[in-house]
Amino acid sequence: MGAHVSIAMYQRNIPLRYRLVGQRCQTCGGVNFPPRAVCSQCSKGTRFEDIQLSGRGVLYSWTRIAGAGAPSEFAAQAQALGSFVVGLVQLEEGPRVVAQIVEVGRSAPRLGQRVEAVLRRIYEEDGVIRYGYKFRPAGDAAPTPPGK
Amino acid sequence: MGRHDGPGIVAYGVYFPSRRISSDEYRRAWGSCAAAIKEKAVPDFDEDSLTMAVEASRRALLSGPRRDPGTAAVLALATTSAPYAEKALASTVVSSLGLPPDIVTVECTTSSRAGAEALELATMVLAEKRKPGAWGLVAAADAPRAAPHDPLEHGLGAGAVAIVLGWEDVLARLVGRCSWVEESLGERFRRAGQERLNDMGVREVTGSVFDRVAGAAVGGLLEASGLKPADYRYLVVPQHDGRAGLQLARRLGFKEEQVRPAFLFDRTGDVGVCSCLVGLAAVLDVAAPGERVILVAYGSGAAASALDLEVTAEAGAHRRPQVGPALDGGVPVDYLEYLKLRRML
Repeated sequence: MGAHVSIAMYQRNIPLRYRLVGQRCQTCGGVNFPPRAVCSQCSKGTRFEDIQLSGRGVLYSWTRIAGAGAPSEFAAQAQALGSFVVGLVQLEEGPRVVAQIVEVGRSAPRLGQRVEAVLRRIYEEDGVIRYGYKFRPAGDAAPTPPGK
Repeated sequence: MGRHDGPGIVAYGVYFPSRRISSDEYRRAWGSCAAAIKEKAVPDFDEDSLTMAVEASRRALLSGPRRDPGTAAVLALATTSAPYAEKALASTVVSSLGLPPDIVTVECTTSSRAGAEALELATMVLAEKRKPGAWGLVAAADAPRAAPHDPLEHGLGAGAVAIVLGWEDVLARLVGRCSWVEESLGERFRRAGQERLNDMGVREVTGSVFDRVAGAAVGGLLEASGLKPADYRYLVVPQHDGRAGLQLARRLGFKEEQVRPAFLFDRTGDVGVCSCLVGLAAVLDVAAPGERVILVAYGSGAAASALDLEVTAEAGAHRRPQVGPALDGGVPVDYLEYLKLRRML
């Protein structure tokens, strides 16, 4: 956040930004998200296969970005909403990711709250809309789909 | 397989953004509410027709038999509020859902009839791809806009509906259709480059155009099916206001109980291209095997589509109602928050 990401760089990462495509290390089996050159789990593996992450996880930590505290590309959003929440989400598959947490209003999100990924507009730059994942609270009673 | 052997609806999903504005907020702000709504959904600041289409599509895919997104054969999108006037819209949905890049895509825009058009066209494409497992997706999403001081704005809502089409496990089969267009001016339009709807509001004229065009589509459909209004259990009418669709049904010889189950305007407002599909979803939530459904959609300009559907024995077997849960709940916002969320302030 706050750093310029070129269209070319953004575009390269669309599968991970739009639908959370991660990688599984062929050396240790660990899951990386976002993808890396060297596995973050075993620090050895350099060969990976793409895997579709579930988008489910729990809220590990969060902070509220208010008013003038927002990086410039999020200023319009902060102005319209007053503030917004950024969280650290522990994905079901292991990795922790930073993302906005939506649909929590003004209340304090609960640590350990189950969340699920949604596609939203992240920001606009050069007139181009940058879409990507955010997370919103998921019902705690949500069943785990078959196949997990 | 019955006599109408062909692809049909196998699953569907409905999405409304979580925030709601009530008609009381309009009364507080303007002294009255020009639309017969109790409330309507308000998209979040970071939502648009594409994000809502993706959300409804994910719900539709979760509600039916498991499918590999990579095998979809057709995607038909419908919206009148696309975030881009030029740029493929389908690519955002294809990438977000993991659909295959060689998928046939159709984008229906510029008319609130587009939701029915997308359903019709996707079914036609899929009918050509007659192989086991072939399936397709219709995703309709809309959040039409008008100027805050325009009474038309009061009724404009937001939402999305997605329909999975396939050859197996069909809940409802498309058995007939009729399309009707004729040139008509002045009702609900947006010139190129404009964001907000205009409507000259000459109801005596536009009302009769609506009646004629939507009525002609339904009339053509009945002529083709050889059935009478009473042979249909449900009629899904256009829901761009709280009245016109109900009056049309009456004039065509349909009864209140055939129209009401699908008439949700007071809770949804005008959801543009989705209005007829939300109504269809509400019907599929309750319909019984063998029942027939007419869906009629209308767009200014003017164009209408009528679709004839037959509910199969699959419906009800694995019923997971979509419309009620999507409409229930919601977080209220006041009018000022509404203006900010909709980028009107």
